[in-house]
Amino acid sequence: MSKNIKKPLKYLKRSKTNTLTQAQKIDEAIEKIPKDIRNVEDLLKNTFENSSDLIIRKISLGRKGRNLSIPVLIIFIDGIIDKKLINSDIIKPLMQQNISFNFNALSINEAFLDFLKESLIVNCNIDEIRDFHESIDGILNGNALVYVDGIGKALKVSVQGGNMRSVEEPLTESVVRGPREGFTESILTNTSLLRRKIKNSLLRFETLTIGKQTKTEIIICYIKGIANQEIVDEVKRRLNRIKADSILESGNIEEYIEDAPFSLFPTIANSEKPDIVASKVLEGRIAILCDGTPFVLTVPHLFIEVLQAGEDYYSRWVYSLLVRFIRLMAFWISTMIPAYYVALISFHQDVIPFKLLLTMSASREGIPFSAFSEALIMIFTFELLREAGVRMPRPIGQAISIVGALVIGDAAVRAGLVSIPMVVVIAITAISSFIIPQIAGGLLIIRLLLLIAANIVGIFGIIIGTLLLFIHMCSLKSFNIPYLSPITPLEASDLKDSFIRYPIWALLLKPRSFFRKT
Amino acid sequence: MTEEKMSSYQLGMIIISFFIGSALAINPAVIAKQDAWLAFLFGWGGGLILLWVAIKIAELHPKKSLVGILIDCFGRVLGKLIALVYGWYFIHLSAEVIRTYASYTTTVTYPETPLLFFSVSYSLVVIYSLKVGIETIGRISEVFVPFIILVVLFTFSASLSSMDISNFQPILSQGFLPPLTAGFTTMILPFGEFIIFLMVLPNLNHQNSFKKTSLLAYLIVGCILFIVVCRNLLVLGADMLARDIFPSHIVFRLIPGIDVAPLLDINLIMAGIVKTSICIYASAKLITEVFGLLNYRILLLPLTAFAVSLSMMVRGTVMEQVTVTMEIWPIYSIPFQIIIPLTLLLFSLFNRKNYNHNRT
Repeated sequence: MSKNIKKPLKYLKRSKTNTLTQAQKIDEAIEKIPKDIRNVEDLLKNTFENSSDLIIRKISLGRKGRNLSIPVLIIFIDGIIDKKLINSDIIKPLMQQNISFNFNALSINEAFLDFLKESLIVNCNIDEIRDFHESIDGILNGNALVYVDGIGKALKVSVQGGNMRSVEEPLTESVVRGPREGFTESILTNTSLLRRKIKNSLLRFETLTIGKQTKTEIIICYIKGIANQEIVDEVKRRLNRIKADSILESGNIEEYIEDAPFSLFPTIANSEKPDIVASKVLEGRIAILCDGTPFVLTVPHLFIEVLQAGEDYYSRWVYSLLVRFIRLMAFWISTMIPAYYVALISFHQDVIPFKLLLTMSASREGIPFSAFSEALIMIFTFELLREAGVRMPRPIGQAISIVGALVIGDAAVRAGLVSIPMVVVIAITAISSFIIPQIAGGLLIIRLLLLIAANIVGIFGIIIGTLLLFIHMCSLKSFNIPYLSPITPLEASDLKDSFIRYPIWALLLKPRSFFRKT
Repeated sequence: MTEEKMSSYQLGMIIISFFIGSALAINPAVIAKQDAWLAFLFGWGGGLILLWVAIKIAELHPKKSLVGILIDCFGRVLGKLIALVYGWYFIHLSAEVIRTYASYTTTVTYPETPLLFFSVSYSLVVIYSLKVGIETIGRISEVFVPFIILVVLFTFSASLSSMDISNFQPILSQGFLPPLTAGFTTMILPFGEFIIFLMVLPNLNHQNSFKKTSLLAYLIVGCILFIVVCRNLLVLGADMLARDIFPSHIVFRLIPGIDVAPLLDINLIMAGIVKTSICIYASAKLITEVFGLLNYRILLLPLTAFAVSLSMMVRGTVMEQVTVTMEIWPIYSIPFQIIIPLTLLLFSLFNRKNYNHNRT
């Protein structure tokens, strides 16, 4: 049966069209950097086809005339490098020493390049490169490449720079108490933020490059000895398997490596805050950083993390114990309450206390729709408003919320479109779904499915739907760790940090669920 | 397909929900009226003997399923034939459970909805849980069982006010015979079905813990069901208890203040799904082993569909359903639960003696 379903899905797979252009193909034939600098220049111009941001700076060392000068090319891409660094590190020393050293074209040999590298260029990070493609990758990554005539080698000087957002407080995960810094788009800043939190030589950063076109830098971060090596290997295996043209955000990686692509629940977590990622890495999880996005992925992701927030560990534990329960309640409310309301109204009036039943039927008097369509209309309206609020520019967002409050709240009731209890139900549902934003998208779908089930057979439908959902959650795995652990399979010691939070001195740092042998 | 293993804790939880599965809805001990609790204890004790027989058989044939054991004792042809009969019995059992549950729902909550609708939607959950694997069924029951126990304890304490201790009296008014016959039925109806776990046993990751796990689970299940029987007897009285089709439901409705009847529905489906899944899994696994198939998963859908249609055919009305389940089903089960296991035990004990004798 599953094969029949999977067949059409095959067409969803991205077609493997060859994205390499003609020019790039020619380039692949040549490997070594040509000795003659004019060939180098031609090749570069061929490769980039006069792209306007490529800057070729020519310098000649030694005396002019008598063919004794040594041409040197400094190549870099404008905007992703720091021009001051190029001036002070490369051009200034070369030009100044030009006078005192009296270079001669006849003395050009490999030793000259070493001399440049070891005694002239003022930079902390210089590499010698023989391969032409490697040198192009170096240029694209924000290095300056120094080609010298007649040697067939180049120097890669690290001068990365350009405009980057500074470390700011993230908008998505705001806290009352706790560190306010957030990751930025620069992967180096992000690793440094993590390194500053965990000062341990066993903290490993391993770099990969993914994406044929974007050549995005991906860094796997874990603590050797704490992280389960099997999971680390699995992460690497899955990352290496990615054959994609572009990786623009960690969300792209997530879709390539997640366990259950068709599930409503995410099996990979993301966070914008270094303290949260650091604590997860300390627990034995593995972080995947992606260049160009402040969202860092952590695996394995368990359901219980949805109920946890970084702030729980910074505030008083008795309070966070209560908050965990509130979040669990929010999960159930936001999935079930509309369905239960519809089931009670249309099937099980006998379960409702009599006085409440009277008020409810009085308020539903004159409403032309059934409870089910009422609920659908309200959920749909709310989602429209929410989406508009997210997409709108900030100043207009204000107007949306006023209109929304009026439309959903007062006007709809007065117009006789919906009943007051339904407004209350949908409002509670909406607020609850904001409490657990990580799975809000999945919750909406579950809510609608349960609503339909409740409309067909009342509470029986809800029970069947809930059980199917629960069985589905039981069957999920995130990097071979069951999604619902430590609840099921039960790991008693990990329950200390699940629906409840023990005082921080009573917690185990390293959850045992990650080391369970299957 | 990777080999599916489960922990002994999970197996224990599966055993508990398996026994609770149908006994929450229909408990044959109620025939003994005010001695129902005594009948239940007799049945539980008798079941302990059957449990011991099953465990002993499993111990004598380590790492083997029921099919392997049958072949060991009766030879290839006869062993496989008997195994197929067992396969039929397991399917029949699952049809019984589906029918019990469906008729419970139509009787109690949805009198106008056709029975088939509930059988089918119920078996949809069963198919899905089987599809994701026996390992997942273990995980599901890990959560279900504590919930069921909580509900049982809650209803017990909530109905304390409506209990009347004099419902126990008169004790043994008609002698020992009625509680003993009812006890025999109780022994067969939930407890004798333990033989089915010989098919699940090879999935356990620590084979040695099987004995301890099943004994412990059996003890817990005895306690839960004893509480249920006593609660029903004390709240309803002997006469009502014997007359009601689904006494638990009435007790749930009688709890003052709130209506918690949906809780019973949830409990029944939770335990029932585990029970039906285990039955279907066992028969699928059995057929796979008898015919030497590679994968049992392909059998799950047809077997469940068969069980659903069987459940529609086996009974007529609800009254017939209850009568047949209480009076005829136990007799029908005797060969599967008592005669064949006892023969198996004797054969394997005899074989072992021979085997040891030959070796020394």
